[in-house]
Amino acid sequence: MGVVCVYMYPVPEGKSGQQVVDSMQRQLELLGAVKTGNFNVDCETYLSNNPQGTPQRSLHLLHNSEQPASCFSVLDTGTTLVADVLFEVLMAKLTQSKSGKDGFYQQRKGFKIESKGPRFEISDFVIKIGSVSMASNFKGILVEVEYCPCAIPAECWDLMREMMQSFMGTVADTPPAIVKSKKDQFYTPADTINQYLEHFTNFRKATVASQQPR
Amino acid sequence: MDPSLHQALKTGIAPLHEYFLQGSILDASKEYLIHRLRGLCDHADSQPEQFNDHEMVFMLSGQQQAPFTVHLRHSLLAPECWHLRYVGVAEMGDKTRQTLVRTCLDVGVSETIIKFLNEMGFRMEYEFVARGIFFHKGIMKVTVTKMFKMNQVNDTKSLEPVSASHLVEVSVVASTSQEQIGEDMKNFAEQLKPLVLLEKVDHRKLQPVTSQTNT
Amino acid sequence: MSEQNQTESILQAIHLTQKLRSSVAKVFQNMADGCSVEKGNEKHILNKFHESLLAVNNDISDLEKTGNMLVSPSPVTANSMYLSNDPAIDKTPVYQQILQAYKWSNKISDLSGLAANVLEAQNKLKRSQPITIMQAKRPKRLPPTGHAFPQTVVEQTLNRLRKLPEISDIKTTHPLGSHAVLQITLGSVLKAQVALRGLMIEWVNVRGYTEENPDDSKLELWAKSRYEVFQKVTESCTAASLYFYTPHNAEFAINLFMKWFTQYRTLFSAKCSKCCNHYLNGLPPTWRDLATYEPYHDACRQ
Repeated sequence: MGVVCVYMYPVPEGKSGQQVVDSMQRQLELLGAVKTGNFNVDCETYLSNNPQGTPQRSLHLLHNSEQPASCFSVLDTGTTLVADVLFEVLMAKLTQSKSGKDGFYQQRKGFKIESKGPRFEISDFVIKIGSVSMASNFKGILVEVEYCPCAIPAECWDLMREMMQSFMGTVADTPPAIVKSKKDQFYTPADTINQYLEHFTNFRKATVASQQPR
Repeated sequence: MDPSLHQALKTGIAPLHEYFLQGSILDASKEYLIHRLRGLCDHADSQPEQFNDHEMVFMLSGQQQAPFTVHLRHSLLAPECWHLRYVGVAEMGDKTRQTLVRTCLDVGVSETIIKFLNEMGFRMEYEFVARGIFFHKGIMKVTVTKMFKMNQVNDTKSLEPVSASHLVEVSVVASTSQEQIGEDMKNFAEQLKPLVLLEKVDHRKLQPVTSQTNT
Repeated sequence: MSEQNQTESILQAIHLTQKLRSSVAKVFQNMADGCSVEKGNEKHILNKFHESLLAVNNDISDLEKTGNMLVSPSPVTANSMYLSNDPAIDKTPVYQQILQAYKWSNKISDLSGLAANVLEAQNKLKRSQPITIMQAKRPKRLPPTGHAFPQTVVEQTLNRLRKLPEISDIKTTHPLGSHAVLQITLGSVLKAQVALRGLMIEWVNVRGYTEENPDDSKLELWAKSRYEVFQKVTESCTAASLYFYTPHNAEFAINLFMKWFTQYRTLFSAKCSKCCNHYLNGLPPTWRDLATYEPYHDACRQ
């Protein structure tokens, strides 16, 4: 596990998401990237049916195809839990409604958001171009770049920046906030998930904002 | 739920049922049992594995819903290991069934779990320390455990034994459609007979006693 | 039957048993001694033998009689019959002892096989020494000394090296007797396995800091790194260990090598001295100049 940076790549007006993904893919192939399959990061949200008096919690459950045996849960307080994928079964038990009574948590319907697309490798770099969709509506593009051999962001940030700028330009000028805050510490898969969650939350907010005027 | 995970649960790749038998042995006779188990179980040539776990039981209660309990185990020997377990109510079944059966769910988790559970709404009910030896024979798991009360909350140093005996448990985690496991377990229990009687213990009858020791 | 009587008859029985034993012994003694039989004297010998056998017979019947008089000792205590079923057998670690014995016997047969091979090879009679005429004419070269350092000297040298600021840790193990294998950790960038022979560097392998050993307790000398960067660094290190190699001054050589090697502390953060970039073809600068220690990309070296 190395250091990962996730960026939102703007889709210029008049272009479709697929066109942007295709042109970026061509660019990467020119740089010598090899396609090594597909990837998928998804996120579902649950809300607690708490008794009165306690604040309502929302819980995000995320999967990353890079860590297929794990699932990541993030509470709105920011606490992140890394668990075996069976944790989901536990969650299902908590959402189960028994004899007409609601479960402890309920899934927020139509709120599932995911980023999926091709995965490339250049030497020790892994690049993933993900198209984000929520309820099968296209929302935007997230580009993930991982440098596998190094686990400390401060060591390899300059190297990563040069690499990323070679195909993304100015999008990758500054490190993502989470990477910045952990500069001298070991980077963990949970940090990647938090980057994705941040972007997902932004996309969802944008959706809600654009729907409200109507 | 993820469709592939759903599939895995259905076909029994992800085991969800625990078949188990319980018994107890006085501390004085523990050594006899250990020697016999070392002979009967796999890897007789290496030292049996020790464990020393701090178990915390968390409960989520709502106004309408029946309370939901999970057991969190934290190894004191390897402090990076945290293990969350959900167990259902043990079913006695009828005479034909050789063992107790309960649904169970084992999840390895990261060290943020306590904070996470508290923020999810869980509250800690009680805790104890379980110390003992672990054997396995094929897929069968045999544990000889000594339970300790903790004199102070969250202090795993000052301990007091709950009783003068060890809990002996034989268990197998498997999918539902494997009733013949019970037969194997019964045969194994038979071989420990004069020392330990491993039986289907009706937990409902024990309930008042255990709730006393817990508080 | 009174207690007294009982004791007496037991005593008598013991006495009779002793008698029987002595008479039987006498028979065998006679037979064992043997005797020269004179003509006409056979009768005498046979009689003597007959007599002693009769004595045995009498003793047996006496013993049987007293034996019959003995009744089994009055009330058997209930628990004593379980004496022979003592479960203490469970307490004796039979399984482990048997296993241990089995392992040992296996080991012994293996080792004796090996020893036999070795002895056979050494005991071959060599009737002639290979004659080396050429050797005498060549100027005598000093044999290399790099491999012949006692462990204490190696340890001292390593302690000096441990003081280098870039090095976080040097772990030493001796997997095959005397020669040391080092595990050098450089910051949190990389881990290198260096096999020494005395103070000579025999083998260098570099892996990432986060790359786990398949089994942490064991030394893993041969597994290559998953990442291209560290494979390149391993190549460079092998080249450097050859470059710095001096057979007569191994301590000097290892110092030079380590000084050069610590430059990899900045493997990911250093810029190439030629192209002034970090990144080229998917790699950071993986070469460090042997004299100036400056970082270069593999392609920028020339």
